[in-house]
Amino acid sequence: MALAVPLAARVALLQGLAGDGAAGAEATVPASARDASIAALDRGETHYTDRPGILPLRQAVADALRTRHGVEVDAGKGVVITCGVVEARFVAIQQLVPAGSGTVVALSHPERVAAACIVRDVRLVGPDADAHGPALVYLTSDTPAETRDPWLARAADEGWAVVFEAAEESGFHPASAGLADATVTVGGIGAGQGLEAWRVGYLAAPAATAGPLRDFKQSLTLCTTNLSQWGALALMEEHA
Amino acid sequence: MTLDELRNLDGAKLRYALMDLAKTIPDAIALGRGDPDLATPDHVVVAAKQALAQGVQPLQPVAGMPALRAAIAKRARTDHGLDVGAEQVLVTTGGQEGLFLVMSALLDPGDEILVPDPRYTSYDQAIEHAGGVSVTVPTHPEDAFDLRAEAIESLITPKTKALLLVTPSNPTGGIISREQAEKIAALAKKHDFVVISDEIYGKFVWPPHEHVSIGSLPGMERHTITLSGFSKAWAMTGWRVGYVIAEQNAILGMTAIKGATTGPVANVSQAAALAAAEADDACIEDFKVIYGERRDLLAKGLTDMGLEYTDPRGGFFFWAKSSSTGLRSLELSYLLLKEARVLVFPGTGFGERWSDYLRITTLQPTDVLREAVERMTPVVKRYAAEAAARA
Ligand SMILES: Cc1ncc(COP(=O)(O)O)c(C=O)c1O
Repeated sequence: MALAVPLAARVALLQGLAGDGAAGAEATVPASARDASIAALDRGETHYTDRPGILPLRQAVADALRTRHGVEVDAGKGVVITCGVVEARFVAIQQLVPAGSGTVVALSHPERVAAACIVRDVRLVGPDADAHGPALVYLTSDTPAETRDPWLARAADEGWAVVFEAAEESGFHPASAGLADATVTVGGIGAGQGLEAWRVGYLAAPAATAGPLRDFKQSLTLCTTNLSQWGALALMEEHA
Repeated sequence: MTLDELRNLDGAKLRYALMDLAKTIPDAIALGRGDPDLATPDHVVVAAKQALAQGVQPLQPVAGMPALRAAIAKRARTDHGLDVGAEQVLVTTGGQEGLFLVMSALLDPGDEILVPDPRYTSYDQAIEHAGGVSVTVPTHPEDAFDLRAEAIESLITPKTKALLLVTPSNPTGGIISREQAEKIAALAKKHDFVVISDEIYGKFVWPPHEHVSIGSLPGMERHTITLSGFSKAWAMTGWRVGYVIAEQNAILGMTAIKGATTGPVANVSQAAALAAAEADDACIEDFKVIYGERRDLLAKGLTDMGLEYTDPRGGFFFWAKSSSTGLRSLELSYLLLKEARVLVFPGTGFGERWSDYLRITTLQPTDVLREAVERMTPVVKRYAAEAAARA
C-alpha cells in the first residue's frame, strides 16, 4: 500500500528514533492510583469524559501549577488532560509551529520532541544553532539558566511560542520571565511514580491559546482514558 | 450560547456547543453523543481490575500489547473474513486516533478522498490536517443511504487516493450492501485507490441485513484499511481502545507516527480490550436485544410525532427529517432542548447540506428514552400544526 510520499521518507527517520524503547519498562503502581481507578470502575466510569478531561483533575493541575510554579491557569478553560505528555507535546507542536517553514529550538532533551517535529515537518535545532522565521522554544525544568535566559529573552522579542515541560516539583517557569501569555506548559502525571502506563499528561495555557489546542486534542483522541484520569487525580491529591 | 451563535457553527464544533448547552439544563435527556449508556460488560471490568491488582504495569509497545494485536487479528479472521495476522494490527487510542493516523499516513497534500455525505465530520479534520481534499459522495434516503458505486465512479480522478466507507453509517444508520460493496471493490482495484472501511458500529446490524467487511472481498486485502474499536461494540468509550488493520508497511508507517502522537495505549485499557476480544459475543448479543427494543420504541415515537425517517439498518442512530415542523433542524434541536429538555443533533453537525435532518440516538435506558419521546411529541406536534396552518 502506497504511503503518502513525504511521510514515507519521514517514517525511516521516525523509526530511527528510540520510539519503542520504553516498552517493557516496569514500575510498581502506587496504591492510591490503583485504588482510585478500581473505585472509578465501581462507579461506572467507563464512558467518554469531557474532552478536556475530568474537571477535578484539571483543577488539581491548575493548583499544582500555582503552588509549584506560581502560575495561574483557568482549570475550566486553560487546562487539557492528554494521553500522556507525548500527546501534550504533539498537540502543542502541531498547533504552534507552521509545517514546513517552522523551527523548534530545543534547549534540552531534543529527543522528547524529535518525533513530533518530524511528523510536523519542522526543523529541530539545539541552543547553539541560529533560528529564524517562525520558531518555538522548547525547554524543560532542568534546562540550565544560562542556556534558558537568553533564549527566553529572544522569544519575548520575536513573539515566539514557548513550550515548557514542567517536572512534577517546584521550580522555574517562563512566566517569571514575563512569558506567561506565550507559554504552553506540558507535563506528565505520575510518569516517574509508576503511572507511565496510565498515559496521563496535561497541557496548560491562557484560555485563548488553550481553546484551539483542546479542539485539536479532541479531534485526535476525543478524550483521555477515563479510569486513568481518576488514578492520576488520586496520585496528585496524595502529593499535593 | 444563543441560537444565532449556534448558527455560525457546524460539524464537531456545533455538536460540542450543543452538548455544553445541554449541560446547563438540569434534567435534560441526551440523545446526542454516540456514547453507549450501557455498562462495560462485567468480565471486561473484572479483567481490568485484575490487571490493576498486579501492582506492576509494564509500558506496552507503541503498536499495542502483542496478545491484543493477535486477538484482534483472530477476530478479524473469524468474525469478518479478513485474512490478516497480528503484524497487520495497530492498537490505537480509540478509533479516533486511528482515523487521524490513517489520513496522515495515506494522504499527500492535494490527494483526493471520497467521503460519504452525510458523515462523521471528525474525518474532515483529519483529512484537512493531512492536506487532503474531501470530495463528497451524496447518499440518499431512497436507497437507505447505501453508497452507490456509480456515484463514486463519476467522481474518480487521477488524484483519487482513497474512499471512506462508514458501515453502519454515523449518522444515517445506512449500511453498505453486498452488491454495492462488490462494485466498489471492482472500482478500487481498477483505479488503484484504498478503501478506508470504518466498521466501528459493525456489530450492530439489524436482520435481514448483513455486515459486509469490504476487505474480505477477493483481491481487496491490498486495497483496504479497516478501522474499528471497542468503544461501541463493548460499551467501552472511556477506555480508549481502537485499532487499524492494514498491510504491514502501512501499519509500520502509522506506528511510527503513533510514537509521536500518543505513544502506547493505556495498559489497563488494553488488558480490558483483550478480555473483550477473547470472550464470546454473548454480551454483544444481549446489547443487541436492548438496542433493538429501543430502536422500535423510537421508531414508533418518531412516526407518532410525524417526523419522517429511514429505517436504520444498523448502529445507534435515527436520521429524521425536520421538514414537517416547518423548521430547520438547528432551530428544531434548539427548541427541543429549550422546551422539551431533550438534546438531539442537527444534521449540519454531519455535513453542510443536511439542514433538514436530525440525528437522534437510542443511547438511553428504555424508560428514559420513552420519557424523551413523551417530552418531544407535544413540542414537535405543535410546530407541525403551526406549519400546517401557515401552509
Ligand atoms: C464513525 C465513527 N468512527 C470512529 C469513532 C471514534 O470512536 P472511538 O474513538 O471512541 O473509538 C466514532 C465515534 O463516535 C464514530 O462515530
